[in-house]
Amino acid sequence: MSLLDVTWLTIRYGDNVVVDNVDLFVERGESVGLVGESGSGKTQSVLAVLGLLSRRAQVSGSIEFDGHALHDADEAGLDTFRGRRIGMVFQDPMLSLNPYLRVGHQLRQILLRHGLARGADADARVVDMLERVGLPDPRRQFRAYPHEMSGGIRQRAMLAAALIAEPELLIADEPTTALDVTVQAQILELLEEIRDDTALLLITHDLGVIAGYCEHMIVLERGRVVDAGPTTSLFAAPKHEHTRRLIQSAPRVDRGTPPAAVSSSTVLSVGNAVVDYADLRAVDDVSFAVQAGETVAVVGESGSGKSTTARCITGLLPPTSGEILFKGQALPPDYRNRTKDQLRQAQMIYQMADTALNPKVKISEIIGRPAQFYSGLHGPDLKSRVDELLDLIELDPSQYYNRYPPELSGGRNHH
Amino acid sequence: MSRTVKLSAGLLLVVAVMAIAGPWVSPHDYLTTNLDSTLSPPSVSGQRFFGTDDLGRDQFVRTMTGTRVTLLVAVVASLVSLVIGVAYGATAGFIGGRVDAVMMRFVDTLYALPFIFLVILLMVAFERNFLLIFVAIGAINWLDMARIVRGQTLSLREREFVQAAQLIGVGTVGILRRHIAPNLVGIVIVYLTLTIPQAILVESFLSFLGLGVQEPQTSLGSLVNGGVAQMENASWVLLIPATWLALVLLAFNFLGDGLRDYFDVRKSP
Amino acid sequence: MLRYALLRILGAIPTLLLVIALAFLMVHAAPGGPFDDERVLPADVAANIESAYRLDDPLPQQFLAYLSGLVRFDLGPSYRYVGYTVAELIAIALPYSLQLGIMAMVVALLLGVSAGTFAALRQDTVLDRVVMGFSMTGISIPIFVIAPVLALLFAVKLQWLPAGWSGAEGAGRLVLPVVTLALPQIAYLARLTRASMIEVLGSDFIRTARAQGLGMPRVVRVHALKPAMLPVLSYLGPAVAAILTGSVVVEEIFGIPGLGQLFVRGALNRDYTLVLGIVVFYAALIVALNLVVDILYAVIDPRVRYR
Repeated sequence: MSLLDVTWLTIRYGDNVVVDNVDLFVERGESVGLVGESGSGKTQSVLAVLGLLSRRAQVSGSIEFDGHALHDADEAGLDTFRGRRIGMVFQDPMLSLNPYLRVGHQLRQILLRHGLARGADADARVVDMLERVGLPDPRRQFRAYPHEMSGGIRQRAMLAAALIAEPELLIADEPTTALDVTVQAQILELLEEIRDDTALLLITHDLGVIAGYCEHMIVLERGRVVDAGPTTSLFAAPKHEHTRRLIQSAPRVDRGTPPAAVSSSTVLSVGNAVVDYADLRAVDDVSFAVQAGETVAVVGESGSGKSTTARCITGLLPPTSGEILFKGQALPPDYRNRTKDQLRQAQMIYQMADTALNPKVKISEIIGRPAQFYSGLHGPDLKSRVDELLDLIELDPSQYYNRYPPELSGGRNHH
Repeated sequence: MSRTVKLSAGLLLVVAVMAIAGPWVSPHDYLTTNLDSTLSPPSVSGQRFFGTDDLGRDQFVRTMTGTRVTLLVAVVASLVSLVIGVAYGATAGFIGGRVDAVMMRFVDTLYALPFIFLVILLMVAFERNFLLIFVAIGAINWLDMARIVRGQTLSLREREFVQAAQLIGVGTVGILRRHIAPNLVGIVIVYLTLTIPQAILVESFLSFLGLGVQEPQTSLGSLVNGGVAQMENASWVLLIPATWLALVLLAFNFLGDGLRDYFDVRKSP
Repeated sequence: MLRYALLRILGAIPTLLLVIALAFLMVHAAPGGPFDDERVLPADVAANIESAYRLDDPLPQQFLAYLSGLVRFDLGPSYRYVGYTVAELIAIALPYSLQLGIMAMVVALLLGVSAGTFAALRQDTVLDRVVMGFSMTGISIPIFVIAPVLALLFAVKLQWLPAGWSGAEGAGRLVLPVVTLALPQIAYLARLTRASMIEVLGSDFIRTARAQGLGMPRVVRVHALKPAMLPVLSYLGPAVAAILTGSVVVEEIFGIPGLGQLFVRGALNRDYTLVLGIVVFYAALIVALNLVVDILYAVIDPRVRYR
């Protein structure tokens, strides 16, 4: 009998089916990766296991843990499993930890509630656990508040909370997505090291993570399971079209040579860019070039100056010194001094689509205005261009033309 | 929109219509005293729909004219505070920086004051000038509006879609027009439905204490005040204007609440 | 933390000064002095009075004199109650208002917060709507309507509780005034708590707490209550101001010789120093209270301490 046995799980909100007859199995001690794009139902499925979905959700199907039927259980029943036999780690520790309570206090609650320890003994066990997850000064961090810790440390604390009652299954929902790239690896390593024989259900959209840490994988697309099986076999021979696409589009360091530049003409050249705020140098003598057709990735931790550099290039923030050249021609540092054509050539896509789009303007207008502005299109010409573009990003024009941004999911807004 | 909202709006409409048309319907007026029929209970026969008060004046007409005064004062005062508040708040929010900080610090300071007492002080010192009531009420209410408008303007200004619009090449005026203004309208309307009842409360409170509208003019507040004196013998003299006032305030509050929900749902996912 | 507190205290002083200045200005800008309506005084008597009350000094000087008096808790003599200083009058009336106000605040907090939490945990059920309906009514209806109506119902018609202050003895006479004063605050606090609690309960960290199997009572008690109380805390300042305002009405209707009643008498009698003195007193009270609230806020929300 599997440790976690989910069959025919369906979750709907009114007419909207977000999870469609999903089957999930996790055996004792094994690690299973749940992968899929945003909106594919990964998080919803997992929340259903612990009974944490919103009240509006209509759930059907069978969820069994160690033979016990969770789908039928009431709150009190579920509480005997939550935190105690099934631990959960959420995506963003800044949001998932209580900012008003000290970290140690939050962890202690778990022990108290499940009757595992009391008083000084409970405190000692918490400190012990904090040490095991690699916190440098566990006694001090016991008394610390979440905002006093860095992202990586916070997530370790979350991990500590999830594992402190020694559960049989650990569910991790994108545990590293909110963290810096350099810290991500550390957390994943920690996870692997510390879980011993606890089973792991790891949710991620990153195939690299699956490849590195999960024995089995399950692929979800639009609420349905499209592929499932041992990781190595699936990677070698993906059964479903969607899986194949996912694997192919995953950037891999070990995959041949990167796509070569189309030609050797330099499209963008950044020369010795420096950006100073009052007493802080945000960008210090940065230079790089982008050739035609080339994709250049600018990588760095948060606060390393990536966004600032991007804003220099688009002219939103004139650099303190240095120059930006487009096709050999110097671009005026301030966007207001640039010609329409120059503006058109360099556009930005923001990280958070929710805030980058005006919620009161229709999608057709959002896409249409630049076309109108730069190419002078009007009327029916404009409409067909917008339709063309909508098609390109795979949104059905007849459906989306008149919608507003708040009605779309994050991923779609990005497009 | 929810049923309560429609009901409230309907109720307010009825009240307004009655306030305007009521006195025409009744053969009595609000001034005439009739010492033969003081404190008589409501009756249909003599067309004393709400009865008479201690001076024999017809309560129905007085309540209706009182409502007129109350509503008038409240609406005008609210508009005054609206204009002041929006101008102040939008300016502070848009200019930003030091100017904004100073302006809002001023608002914060004013916020801490026990305003009603200062208003009473004002009313006493300046001999119950009718115009002064508007000023006093407007002076209390503009603070909220200014804060809200400033907050909205600030956050709108910083939103990335404004930056993106700038990037695409839209000018400042265009930004104000297409991106900032539409996002302000909703909130201003909603707050109006909150400041009007606030104004009614202030005016009624003042009148209740004897510091607001003066005889022979009457407002709902002074009617309630008069009713308290007659509480033990002729309870309707108190209960009728009291209930009337309560209904008007309830209706406004439900309306405001409902509108706020309605606009919120549209604004964010 | 200490720095935070000190900064707050320093910031409160200009506010207080501003209020005092405003009130002072208003009183002295009033057309006609305090004596000119009732009697026509012979010129030399009038002059004597003016100098006794130092009314012939230039305004700024009067203000400074007033301020120096304040520091010594001297609020000047009353214009109408001859022989009494304003400070004395306030001291006599204060205990009644204090008792009434504190009890009302306590009752409001206990009942309002409980009702709000109760409603939040039963969101969208019939009970929730009933509680919210009551609270909406309590907020909308002004206190000068509630007070006489309650007095009418419970004291006059049903005769369950005494209406007046002087004619009755013991704790019974406190019930109606305290309840009346507390009612609008109970209503407001219920709404506020409910909204705040619902929002907190929707947070990610509450989801974590539930995922840890803590059970709703513990989740609410340990994780949700603290942050949910923040808006309530912020409301304490305005709540006290509302109770002060309400006390004017309640004391009038139930005949309680407190500060509110004193203020109205002073206002109607054009007793300027008395009225000014009470306004200053209230302002100082509210400023001090806001200070305490600010500090308490930092105690609950650790992120605020470093500003």
